[in-house]
Amino acid sequence: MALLRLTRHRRTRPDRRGESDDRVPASNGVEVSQHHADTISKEHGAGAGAGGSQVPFFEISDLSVAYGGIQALRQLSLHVAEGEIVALLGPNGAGKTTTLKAIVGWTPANRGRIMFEGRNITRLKTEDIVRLGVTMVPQGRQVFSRLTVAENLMLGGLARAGRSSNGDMASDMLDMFTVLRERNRELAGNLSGGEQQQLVIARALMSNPRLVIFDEPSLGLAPALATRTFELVARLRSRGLTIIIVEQNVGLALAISDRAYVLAGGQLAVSGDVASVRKSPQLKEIFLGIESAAL
Amino acid sequence: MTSVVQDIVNGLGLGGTYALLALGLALVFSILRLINFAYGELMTITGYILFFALGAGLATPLVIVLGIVGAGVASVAMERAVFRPFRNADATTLLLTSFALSVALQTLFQATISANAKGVDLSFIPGLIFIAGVQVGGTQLVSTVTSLVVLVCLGTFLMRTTLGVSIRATAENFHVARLMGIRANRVIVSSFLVSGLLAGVAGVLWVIQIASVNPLMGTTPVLKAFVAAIVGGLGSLRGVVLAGFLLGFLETLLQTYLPGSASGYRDAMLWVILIGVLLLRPQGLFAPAAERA
Repeated sequence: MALLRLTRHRRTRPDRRGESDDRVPASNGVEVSQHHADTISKEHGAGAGAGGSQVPFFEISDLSVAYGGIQALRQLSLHVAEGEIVALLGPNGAGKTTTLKAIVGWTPANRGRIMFEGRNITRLKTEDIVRLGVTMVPQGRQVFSRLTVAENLMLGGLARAGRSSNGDMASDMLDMFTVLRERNRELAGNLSGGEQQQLVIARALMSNPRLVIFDEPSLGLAPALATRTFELVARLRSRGLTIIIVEQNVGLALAISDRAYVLAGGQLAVSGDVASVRKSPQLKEIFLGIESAAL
Repeated sequence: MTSVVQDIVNGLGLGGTYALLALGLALVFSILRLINFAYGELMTITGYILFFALGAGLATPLVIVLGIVGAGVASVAMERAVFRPFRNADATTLLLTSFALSVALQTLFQATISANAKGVDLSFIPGLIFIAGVQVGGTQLVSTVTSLVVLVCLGTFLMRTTLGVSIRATAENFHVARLMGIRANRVIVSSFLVSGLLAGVAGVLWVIQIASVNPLMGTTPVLKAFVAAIVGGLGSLRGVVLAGFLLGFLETLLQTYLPGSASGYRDAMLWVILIGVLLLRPQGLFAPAAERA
C-alpha cells in the first residue's frame, strides 16, 4: 500500500533536482534497506558534517518556498536531533509559519529537501507525513468546534493506525488533561481558550508522534496560560518527544529550548544554542528591541 | 381532517425530495466550497437509467437500485474527471466549471437520447393509500417515508462512523483534518458518492411522480434545492434539511390554497417569500452568523 502510494507519487512528481529518491517505503518507523541507508548516510556525511554515518533525526536543507511570485522562504537549512526542543523565531513575515507549512505538506517547496528519520518527506501528502510521526499543533487552537471533545481525540488517533498502538492513548490523554475527561461529550467549540489549547495538544499527541511542531502556542492566551502551555511543552520532551516551537514570545520560547534558529526576511539570520542566540547582537536588531526586555 | 393530513404528506413528500437534494449540494459544498450546478444532471442520469433499464425488461427493484447507484457512480466520475483538475482553483472557476458541465450534459442528453420526454412507468405504487381511514397520495407517502429513512441513515453515518466524523471534520477545517491523517481524497470522493446517491434517490422519487424523463428534468428541483440550501445556510446540514422541508410545505400550501387564477404565480410567490427570508437573515435561517461560509 505504502509502496504503491509512494511509487505513484514519484511518477507524477519527478524530483526536479535530479537527486536520488530516498523515500523509503518501509512499513514502520526506521527500517531502511541497506542500499538506501548507504545512500542516505553518504549524502548526509557531506551535508550534516558532525555525525558522519548517523542518519539525522530531522533535517531541512536549502528549502525555498514562494507563493504567487513572493519568495517567502529562501534557502533555509536546519536540523533537529532526537529529543531536542528547537525554537524557530523571528518577527512577523520572517518565514516561520511558511517553514512549518512546508514541513507538514500544506505548502509545496520550490527547492530543497526535508528529511525525517532518513526519509525524504518533501513531497509527501500531509496525511502521509503525519502517519510517519510528524505532527503539528496549528496556530490559534484549531479544534473541530462542531465535534465533541471525544470525536476530536478520536480523529487525532487516526494517524496512529499502522504504527505502534500500545496502550490506550485516549485514556492516557484524559489522565493528563483531566478537564477533557470531564467535558468529553461536549462540543469542542464550547470549551474555554485554555481548554481548547489542551485539546489541540492532546489531539496531536493521540497520533503518538515523534516530532511535534508547535505554531505560536502562546498566541491569544493569557500570560499565565501561556506559561503553563510552555511548561507542558517542556514536559512532553521528557516523554521522549522532539519538539520544534515557533513563537513570537522569544523569552518564553528560549526558556525551554536547547537551540534556536532566527529567521528574518525569509532567510536564516542567527542560529545556535540558546545562550549564544541570546547574546547575539543581531537578535535585538531583528526584533527592533521590542523583545529585548524579555531576553 | 383528510385534507390536512393529505397536505402534510404532500408537503413532506415534496420537501423530503428537496431536503435530499439540498443535503447533497451542501455536503459537497462544505468540503470543497463547490456549488455543483451539474447536480441536477445526476437526477437526469438516474431518470435515463430507469428508462433504459425498464426498457430492457429488468425487474423494478433492480431498476431502482441501478438508478440510484448510477447517480452515485456518475457523481464520483464527475469529481475525478472534471472537478479534481480544478481542486485548487478559486470558487468562481469551480462554479463556472460545474455550470459548463451541466450544460454539456444536457446537450449530450438532447443529442444522443432525445430532446423530448421519455415515458417511465414505475406505477407499482397505488394511487391512494388509506391509513386509519385517512386517504393520502401513494407516491407522496412513499417519498415521505423514503426521504425520512434516508435522512436518518445519513445522519447516523455522519454522527457514528469514523468516515462520517472525518467528513464533518474536513468540512469544518480541511487543512487541520489532513493533519489528523484523514485522507483528503477519500473524504472528497465519499462526499461526492453520498451526494450522488442522494440525487439518485431524489431522481427515482421525482420520476415516480412525473412518470417521464427529459434532458432538463433535474434543473427545476435542483434549483429549488439550491435555494433551500442557501436559505438553510450552506454550512449547516441540519438547517439545509429543515429548509428543504419548509420549501416543500410552502410550495404545497400555495398550490392547494391559492385560487385557481393565481396558481400560475405559485413559484413567483415562493421566490418572493425566499427573498424576504434572505433579506432578514442573509446567513440562512438556521446557520449561526459565525458559521457563515
